Amino acid sequence: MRKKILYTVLPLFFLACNFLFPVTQQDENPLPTQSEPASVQSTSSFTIVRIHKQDGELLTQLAAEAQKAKTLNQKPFIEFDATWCPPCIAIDNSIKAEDPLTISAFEGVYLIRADVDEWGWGDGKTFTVEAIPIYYELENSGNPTGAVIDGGAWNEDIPENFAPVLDAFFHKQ
Amino acid sequence: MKYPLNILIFLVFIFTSISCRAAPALGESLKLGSSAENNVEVTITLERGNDDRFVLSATFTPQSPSLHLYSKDIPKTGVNGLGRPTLLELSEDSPMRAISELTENVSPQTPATPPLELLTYPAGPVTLSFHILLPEGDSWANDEVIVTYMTCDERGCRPPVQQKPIAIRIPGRGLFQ
Repeated sequence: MRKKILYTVLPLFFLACNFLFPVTQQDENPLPTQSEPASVQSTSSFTIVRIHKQDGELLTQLAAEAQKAKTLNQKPFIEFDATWCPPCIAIDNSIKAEDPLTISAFEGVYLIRADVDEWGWGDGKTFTVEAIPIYYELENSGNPTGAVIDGGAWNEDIPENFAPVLDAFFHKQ
Repeated sequence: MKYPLNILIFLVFIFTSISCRAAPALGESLKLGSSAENNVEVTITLERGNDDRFVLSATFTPQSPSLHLYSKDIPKTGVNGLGRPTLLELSEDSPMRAISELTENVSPQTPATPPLELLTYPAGPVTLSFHILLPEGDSWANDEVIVTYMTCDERGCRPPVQQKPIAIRIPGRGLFQ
């Protein structure tokens, strides 16, 4: 008799528990709901794009990006960087943190980023990259003007050091 | 007929000299191999210590005095991906056996800016060493060690060199008895 009661009550008990304390299933790795335009970061004052080798030749892509820069009335530059490069990441973090000095330095800049792990260390002709980060000024055609700057232009990689130097480089007439 | 005999004697002398490469005496350092890539020269040496133990060392010498290396103790993939450690490792099938931890001849420094775990050595050369057991035998054998490093200076960073094998010749333990 007692067993019968137990068999009847137990399922009811579990049903009640589920009803009172429902388990919500959480996806630990939710998929993005939309494709993110990860390679383009744009603000009202400057644009950052990342180019990839699979999308074509370097000079062809630079020409196309320089045209986009022109339509935005921004000045094109290419930066060679890498994910393992502390100074590159310091500058990038400063942009992401919207440091006023850095944001001011990049105003009006159309920055085309190329990862050296993907693109190599320049072609030895148009671009000769020995250390990163390095910035080359580009013409509207996408060809380098010859103006170039690297981390040697400032000391420690803090906005107070690199922002004024980059500002002067980006905005020289 | 006289000249070919002389040449033969000369060749035998040269061959014998190369084959009977002297094992290091107490406190002496023997260069086992070297390599240069991405602005750093790496020299591998073997030294016989006072306690009859052997010390295998790698000296990483940046080719520009301003370049610095990163601490051996940062993760192999860097701190949050940044930097690469300076490392000396034995190859998986090496006849040598490490019997101590890797040590450094200079102390790493904490950087002035984050990430603070990204320890660097002062600019200039760094030597990493550990005690090893040499293989049995009284002959020399081919082997390789694996090195990893990356340098940066005020100009920026040079490409990392990761898990690069360096060919070396190692003496058997019997050569010292």
